Amino acid sequence: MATLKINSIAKTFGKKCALNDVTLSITGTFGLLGPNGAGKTTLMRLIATLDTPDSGEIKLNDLSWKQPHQVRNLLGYLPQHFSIYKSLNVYEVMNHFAVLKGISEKDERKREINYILEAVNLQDQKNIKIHALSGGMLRRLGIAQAILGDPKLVIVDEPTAGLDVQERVRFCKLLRRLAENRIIILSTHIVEDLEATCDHIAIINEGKVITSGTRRELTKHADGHIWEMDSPIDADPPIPEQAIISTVQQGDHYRIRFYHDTELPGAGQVEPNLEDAYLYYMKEADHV
Amino acid sequence: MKSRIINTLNILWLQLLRQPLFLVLLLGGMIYEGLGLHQIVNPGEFMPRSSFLVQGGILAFLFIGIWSVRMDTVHRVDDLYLSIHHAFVPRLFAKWIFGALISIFVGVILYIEYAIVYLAEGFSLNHLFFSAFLYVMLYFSFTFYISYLLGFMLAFLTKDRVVYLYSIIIWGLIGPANFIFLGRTLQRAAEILNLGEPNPTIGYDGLYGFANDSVYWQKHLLWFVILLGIFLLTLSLKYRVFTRRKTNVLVISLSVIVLILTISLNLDRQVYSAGNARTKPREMVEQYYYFKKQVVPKQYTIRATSYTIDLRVKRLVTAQVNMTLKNQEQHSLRHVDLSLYHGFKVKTIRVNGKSASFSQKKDLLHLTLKNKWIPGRNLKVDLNYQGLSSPLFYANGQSVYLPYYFNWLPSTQLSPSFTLDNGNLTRMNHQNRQKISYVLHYRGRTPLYTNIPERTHNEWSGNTHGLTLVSGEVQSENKNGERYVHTTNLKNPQMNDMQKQTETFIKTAKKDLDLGHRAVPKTIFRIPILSISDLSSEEFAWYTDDTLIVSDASEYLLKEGLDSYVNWLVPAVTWKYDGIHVSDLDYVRAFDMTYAYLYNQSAHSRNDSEVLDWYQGVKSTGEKQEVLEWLSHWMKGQVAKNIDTSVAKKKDFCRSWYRLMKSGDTSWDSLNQLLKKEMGRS
Repeated sequence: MATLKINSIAKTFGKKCALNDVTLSITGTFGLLGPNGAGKTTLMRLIATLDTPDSGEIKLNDLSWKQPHQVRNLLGYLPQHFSIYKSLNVYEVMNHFAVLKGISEKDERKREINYILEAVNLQDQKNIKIHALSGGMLRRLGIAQAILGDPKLVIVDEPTAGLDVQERVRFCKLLRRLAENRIIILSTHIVEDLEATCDHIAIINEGKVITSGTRRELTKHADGHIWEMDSPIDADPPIPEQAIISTVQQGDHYRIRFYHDTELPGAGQVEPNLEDAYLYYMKEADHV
Repeated sequence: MKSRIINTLNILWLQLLRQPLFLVLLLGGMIYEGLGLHQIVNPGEFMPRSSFLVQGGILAFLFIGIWSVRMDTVHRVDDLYLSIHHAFVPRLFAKWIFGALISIFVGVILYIEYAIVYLAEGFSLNHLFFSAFLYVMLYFSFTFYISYLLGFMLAFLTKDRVVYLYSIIIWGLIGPANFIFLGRTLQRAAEILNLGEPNPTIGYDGLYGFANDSVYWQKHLLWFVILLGIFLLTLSLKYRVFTRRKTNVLVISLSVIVLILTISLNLDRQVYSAGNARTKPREMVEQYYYFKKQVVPKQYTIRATSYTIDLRVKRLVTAQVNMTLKNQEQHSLRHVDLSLYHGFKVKTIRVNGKSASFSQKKDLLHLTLKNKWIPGRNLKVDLNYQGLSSPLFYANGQSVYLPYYFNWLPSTQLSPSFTLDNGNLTRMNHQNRQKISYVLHYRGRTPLYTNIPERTHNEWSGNTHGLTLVSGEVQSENKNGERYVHTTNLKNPQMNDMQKQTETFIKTAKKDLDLGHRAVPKTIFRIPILSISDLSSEEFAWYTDDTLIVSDASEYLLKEGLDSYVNWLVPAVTWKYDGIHVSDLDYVRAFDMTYAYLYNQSAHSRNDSEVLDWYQGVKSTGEKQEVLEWLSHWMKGQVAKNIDTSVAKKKDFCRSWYRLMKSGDTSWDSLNQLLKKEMGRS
């Protein structure tokens, strides 16, 4: 299987260092997780050939990003804020992108568009104007145009931002389905999206990769540090505010989930999930 | 690449078509045009008066240009296209092509409406409609395209909404009504920036036609090349679309084109320029010039017997003239004076095959002869000259009006081209007294109408009193061997009426005034030769044995009665034809007025006695005042009962008067004596 190698990439905008010595090895469905301003979009733009790194290199097998025109033949890209001409219908938009991607033969184009619209569940909407699509449909159209031409590398930047829960779940499932035989790089700050979609994840903060690995490898790092305890509603929580991961009301008390390096009275250790791990990493990074 | 561009064009077209505002604007433009077409009855007049339509179109296309860019920036899909191999640049080029197509589309729609209306109103499908199409392509489509590109570039370089403010400013600067925004002090800037009709405040010139001169195409092309250069450089520097080498080649190539166009635009040329809102209307140019004292040397009796002319009329008039002169003086001459319009700069002169020294001062050419020129001998003079014709006598790639009476050829009649009469510009007559042999080779706008026959392609030859060349927005009709050249903007050229009225007048005047040989010429030019400030009726018609030039291109000349036409014909077939020169033009005007009035009195019953008020309006003293007062009283019948006031008697007086003029006596005193005698006054 193809592997996208990112080696010691750095990118600076003026005095601001957006990426610093980023090294990653990407296969399958890969998630980039990090807070806003962490450098995710900059990295995505570099991979999408929209920008060039100040140093370092990106390669997919033998293909270097120093030859952007060849790279673009393999790319599918869904930008962060995807929207498109509102007076056109779904099919017209797809047809336009198909032509731009070099699918010049009309029947072949029609076949592929229909196949993809079926795959993203927009077949029934193909004659509907863009302005009549819901947010979820528009994102599905975005991913549909991205996978036109069967790209080997699909870059999806914050695809679920602004979607309701149902649409988000549906979209993540769709990405999962489309991941066969291609690399999908998904950037998000919504942890659940990655849990449902990605095999490998990198956490990025302030332009640096904090860690990367499988979901299990990431959650393992937080093993033994995640706890839960009950706390009365009318009492102050016995945990420092910054250690709390979540607080859920259960009847007449709160169920508090938090991280802590040692056992506290009344607290029970729980198995960490990705969100716990992410926050734990971020906490560690803050301390550093 | 091709399929990407075509598909993008299709996408852009679909989007534009689905913009209700575009359809509203298009429909609004058509309605506005329709109202204009309804009001302006002449297809020539409509185009120069459509400036507000162009002004509106410029704004609309500035916005369409902005829309074509912002449709991507608003949806933030630029990055998406950049990430697709060969998508971004073809889409941008498609937008440039789209702008051109949509500009042409709108132009064609407006042109079709124009053509349908005027053809339905009975105008014949002639060259005017082709010129109108070119006009629409230049001042509508090309101007709209440049506006589109300006909007496009503004939005391409500035992602901000401030582009709308910039576009409004540009709209005020580049439209045909920009003088309204720029004011009088920036008139020159307004002319340079104006991409619409260059003469928006004046009417259509039926001979010159629309201002489709190549210079205006070049001006538009310069805008296009500059915008293309900025666009390609932006692509290269911002999006690294081209290699450094390609960018250098691009910069050098476009710079060279811009340089060539800029130089070309600054070359001397004659363009139609008129109107009271302009800095220098064409008649004012000559008024300033002829206000200064002109050189008029002693007139020797020499005459030209032949001219062989190789004439090229493009941006400049280039002429090689070989002429033969005959010395009719009783003595030898050591120099020759010829008159030639000062715009034509003589480069070389050869006399009898040898180069001769000469000087050119204003409209006078002075040749110094190496040998004596013996009486009765011929002199071969070869001249090369080049330059610009008078703004009142067109000679460029668009139109040619070089009549026999204008000294566009070196003339033995030494008067300058114009003189000023009470501040009014008056054309001087350089008509030859005898017939001269002419051979003409001509390259320039065709078809060319002359008063000598075309022998082979581009070669004319024949004998005439003076050579007249006419080309422009005109066409001809032939009937019974007579040719009638008229402007293309007439619904009814009235050829038969014109010939009939002319024939009747000449026949009557010949008899009334004992004129000698006069006949209806074989060629009648009915073309506007005058500018708006020409007021003298003697300027309106020019007559020789083979040519009649009538300065009128309206439908009304013969509908409203013959008064004006007769007033123009009287001077043309009498004293101008016979070469009678007077120091006080009021003298001949009095004659014109008197005979024209009497002719109209006998030709039809219409009461036009109000024209006789002219006599009282003339500033006069002494004999002149007395003559004019008596003429006024006599013509109006306000005299003693014993004085014969019949038209026949007054015509007899006119005959005697004309005889007096022909004898060379044009003094008011002699005329007063004659008037007293004819009226039976003591």
